[in-house]
Amino acid sequence: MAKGSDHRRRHKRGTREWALGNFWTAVTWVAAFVLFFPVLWMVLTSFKAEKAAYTSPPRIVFHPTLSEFSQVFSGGVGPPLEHSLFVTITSTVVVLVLAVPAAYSLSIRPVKRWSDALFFFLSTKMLPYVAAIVPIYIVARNLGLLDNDWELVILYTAMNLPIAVWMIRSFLLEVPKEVLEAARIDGANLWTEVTRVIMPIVVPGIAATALICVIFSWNEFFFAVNLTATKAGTMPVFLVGFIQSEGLYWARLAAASSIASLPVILAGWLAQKQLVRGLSLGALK
Amino acid sequence: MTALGGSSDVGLDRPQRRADKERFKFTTFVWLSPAGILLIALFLVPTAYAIYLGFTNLQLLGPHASSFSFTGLANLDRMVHDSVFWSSVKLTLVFVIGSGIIAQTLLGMALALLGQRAHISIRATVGSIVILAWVLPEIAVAFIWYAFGQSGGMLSEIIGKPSDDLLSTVPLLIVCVANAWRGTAFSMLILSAGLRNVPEEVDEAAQLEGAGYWRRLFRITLPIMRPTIMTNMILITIGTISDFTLIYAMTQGGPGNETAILPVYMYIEAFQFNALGYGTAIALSLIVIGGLLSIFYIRQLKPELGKAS
Repeated sequence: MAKGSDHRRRHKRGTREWALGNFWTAVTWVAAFVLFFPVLWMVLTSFKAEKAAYTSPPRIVFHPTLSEFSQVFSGGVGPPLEHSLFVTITSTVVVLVLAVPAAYSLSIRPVKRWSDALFFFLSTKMLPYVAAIVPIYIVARNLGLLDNDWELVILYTAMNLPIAVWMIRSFLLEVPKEVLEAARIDGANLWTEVTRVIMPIVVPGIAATALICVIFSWNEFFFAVNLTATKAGTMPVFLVGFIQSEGLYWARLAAASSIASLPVILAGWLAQKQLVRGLSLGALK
Repeated sequence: MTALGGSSDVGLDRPQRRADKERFKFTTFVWLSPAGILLIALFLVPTAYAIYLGFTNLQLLGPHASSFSFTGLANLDRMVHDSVFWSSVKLTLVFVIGSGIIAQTLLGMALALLGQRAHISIRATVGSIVILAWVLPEIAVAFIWYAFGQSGGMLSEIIGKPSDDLLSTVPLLIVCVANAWRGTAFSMLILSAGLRNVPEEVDEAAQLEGAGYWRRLFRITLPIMRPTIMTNMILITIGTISDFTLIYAMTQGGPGNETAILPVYMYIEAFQFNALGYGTAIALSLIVIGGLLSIFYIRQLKPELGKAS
């Protein structure tokens, strides 16, 4: 009898846990939906006609149209898209070229005193770069680099370097020491060691780092708005001009915002697995 | 050079090892220097130069645009007596600490705990949904909440006063909500990862001893997660202290100066009111605030980072 009641109690508890699990799952879904809603609103509104975007209360069922997207494309989104693409891709490549050796020297062959170098890289991130804008502006003006793509390439490279070094270092630390030692005993030189042993292990991490640099460069606005105008203006600069000139055209702005968001959404999804780990500076896996 | 390195690892006698170490130092230096030089040239040197410019009467255009001069403590004096500056400091603290550190940590933690109790299968899905908020360009975020806060916008509809323009009645609240929304998802991802690293045995042992959920949360889970929470706070601080975009695009610091946090106020003074020198002085005060926070954080975190590496 005692056994039976024990069994029943356990069964009851199982059902209760199952129900609780469902309850919390439902609550989680609701919370996730609330968080997701603004993005959903933006995408839905971008497919609305301008008049339909303003109905009160807002409607979920509507007749989708691409007219606002074509309005944005005829409204001069081409050049900003090109500038953004060029600046983002170029600076990301340069970041990787500089960050991989730096991270390598800070991880696989660490020298104790240089751990301070890591803190140097982190501390530049704590420096609000708002403070550096006036000197950078003056130097750029004196060098004739204002409103130039390369100026942004250089700045975004410097902006992303600290995070890239930290991220890649945390991935390099994963390479088992034994594997490296075995390779060296087998007579592998530095080049073979890097290309045959280390690279295959850390390539996914480096790819994630690149994607995160892409996200930051693509979204960067402060330097872009202060240092560029018509000749090198990126997507965010175009978008803010759009908000200021056509702030009342919600559907068109939603379409422009969606276009600007698409590349980073894809990059974010691709990098998702490594994102937390990378951005917590390797403190979390 | 590389061949030498290979053989010294095989050889066990000491002199060779020491020579090896010497070589490592040199290559480390060589490999670090390009990245280091770029950072010094683009952030440390300009910042150092900014410290000088902050004490000058530099202008964007006009007589003092090229022939500016050192004005001693004039900017500092102006700053101390500038009521807009002090309200801007207050706004910055509300924005960074309130809508950043406190709101994003609490909401992110709540969501992470929720996700932990939900079925495992949906966690990944929820993760990829909420990540959108963080990945979106800030300008797009600004547009969304700008439209939500206007009369006839989503927020005005929800509170039942569709004709209210919330961006002019409660502007600070709306930009804070937008900022909290943007950062909560990211906090949730970081803190969820931290939660997963809490060893289950400890929690189960406490459960067997009869400790309730909240007791276990406050006595066991949160203390174990302290480094994660600290890391998360640092990331939030870095993300919000020099945030300019969100507020610039939503309100441009207005109405009046009700949402002019320091980076925005600096921009207004430097690039709209022509006072580059004074604007730089304002930016320097931001460095002081950031510096104080980073000293606090690095002190808290350094032993833990040392352990990890």
